[in-house]
Amino acid sequence: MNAALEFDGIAKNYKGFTLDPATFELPSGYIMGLIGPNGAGKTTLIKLVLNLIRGNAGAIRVFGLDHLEHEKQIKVRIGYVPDEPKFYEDIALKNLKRATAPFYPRWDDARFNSLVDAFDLPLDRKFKKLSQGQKTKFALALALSQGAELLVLDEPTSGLDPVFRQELLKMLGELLQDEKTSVLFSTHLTADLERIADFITFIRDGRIVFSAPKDEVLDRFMLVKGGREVLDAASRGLFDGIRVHTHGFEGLTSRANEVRQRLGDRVAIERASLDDVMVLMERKVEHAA
Amino acid sequence: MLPKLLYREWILHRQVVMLMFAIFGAYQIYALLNMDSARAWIVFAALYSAFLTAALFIREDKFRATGWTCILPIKRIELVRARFIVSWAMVVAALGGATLLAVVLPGTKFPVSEIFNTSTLLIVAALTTLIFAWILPFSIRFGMVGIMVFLVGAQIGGVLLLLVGQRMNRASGGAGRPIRTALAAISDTLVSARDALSPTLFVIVVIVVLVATNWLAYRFAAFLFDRREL
Repeated sequence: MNAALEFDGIAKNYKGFTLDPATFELPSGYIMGLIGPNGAGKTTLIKLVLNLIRGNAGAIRVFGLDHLEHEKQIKVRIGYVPDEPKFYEDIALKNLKRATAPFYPRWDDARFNSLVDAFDLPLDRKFKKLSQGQKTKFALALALSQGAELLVLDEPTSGLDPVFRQELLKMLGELLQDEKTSVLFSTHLTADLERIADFITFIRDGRIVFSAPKDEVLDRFMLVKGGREVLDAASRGLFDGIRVHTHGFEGLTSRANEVRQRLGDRVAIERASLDDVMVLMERKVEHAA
Repeated sequence: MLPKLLYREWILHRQVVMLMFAIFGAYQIYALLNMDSARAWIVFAALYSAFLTAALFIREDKFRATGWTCILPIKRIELVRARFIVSWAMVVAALGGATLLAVVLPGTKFPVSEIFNTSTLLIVAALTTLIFAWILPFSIRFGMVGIMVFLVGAQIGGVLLLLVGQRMNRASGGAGRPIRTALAAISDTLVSARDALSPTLFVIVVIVVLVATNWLAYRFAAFLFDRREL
C-alpha cells in the first residue's frame, strides 16, 4: 500500500512543549483522523507537514518525497484548511481566489463555483465580513478546488453548524471515491471521525499513543461500567483509563476478557466510542499525575 | 513563479497602493510648489516612497495571513524576491509619477533637468537601497514588530552615536567633531574615488555596489524569513 503521508521519527521542541519522535503513515486513498486533547500536538504535526515550522529531528515524506527537498512539488498536491482561516481581511473573496488559483495547475474553477454556490458564499464580500463558519467554508472551497491529492484539515468542523458538518463529512466521503485523495483530519469532535475515518492516530502530550485502523481501535477498546465497590487496586490495573463518579465508574480497557473473568456480571461491558477512548485515556494521565 | 507572485501582490495590495499614491501625489504637488531645491525634493520623495513601500508588507502581519502565503507551492526565497522587486517597482513608479507632476504642474519651482542628472539619481538609488537593506529584511521577517524594532533601534542608535560623538569631542578638548569628521571622510573617499576613476567607471562602480547591497539584503531577508515559524 503506497503511503500518501509518512512521519518518520519527526520531532519538535518548543519552549514548554515537546513533540516526541512520531512515526506513522497514512496510506493513499484513506482518511486518517488525528485525535487528541487541546495542546496535544495535532497542529504541530500538521504545521510540520506544511513546512510552516521546522522539525528538530526525523523526516516527513509526502507521496514518497521528502517534504523539505520537494516542497513545491508536494505543496501543489496538498489542500489545507486551518482551524482558524486567516486571509487578508480587507479583500473580497473573489480576489482572494484570484490570488490563490494561479499557483495550482490543476485548479478547477467549475468546482470552486459549485462549492461557492453550495456553501452560499458571497464572493463580493470582504473576508472580515464573514462569520466564522463562512470563513471555514471559504477555506474549504479553496482547498477542495486545488485538485489536491492530500487534504490536511485542522479542526475544520469546530466552527461549523451540525447540518453543514454532516454535509462536509458526506462530501469528504464522496471525494475519496476516486481512491486517489487522502485526508488527514484533525479534530476533537470524534463523532465525525467514527463516520468517515479509516485510520485513527491518537496523540497525547506530544506523544503518539497509537495509530491504527479505526475498526481495530474500536474492536480493541471496550467500555466497562460498574459500581465503585468493584474497583480495587488489582482491578484498576486492568484499565487504560478510569472515570470515577458518585455512583460508579467507567473504565476503558483493552483486556475485556480478563475484565469479564475477574469482575463477571458485576460490570457491564460495551463497545467504546472514540470519544470514550480519548477522554478515558486522558483520565489515566490525570490519575498517574 | 515570479509573475504569479507579482500578480498576487497586486491583487492583495492594489487598493492600498492606490491610496498611498494618492496621498503621495498630493504631498508632491505641495512640495513641488514650495521647495526650492530639486535635489532635496527628489531625495525626500525617494525616502517617502521607500518607507511607504515597506509599510505595504506589514499588512500581511496585521492580518496574520503569512501562514496562508507560506502554504502556497512556492519557496520562501521566491516570496522575498518578489517583495524586493515590488518594493523597487513601487519606488520607481512613485518617483516616475512625481517627476511627471514636476513636468506638467504649472508653477513648479525648478526644471526637470535638475532631477535627471547622474549624481541626483545615484543619490536617490543609494538612499533607497540603504532603506530597503535595513527595513525590508526586518519587515518581511518580523512584520509590524520588525518595523517598530527598526524605528526604535534607529533612534537608540542615533542617540548613542550622538553621545559617543559628544564624549569623543569632550575628550579631544572640543578640537574635533568625530561624527562630522567620519561623514566628511566618507564623502572625501567618494570624491577621491570619483576623481581617480573616469566618470563612467565611477557610476558603474556605484551601481555595482548598490546592486550588491540589494542582493545581500535580499539574501539576508530570505535567510531570516526561512527560519520564521508560523
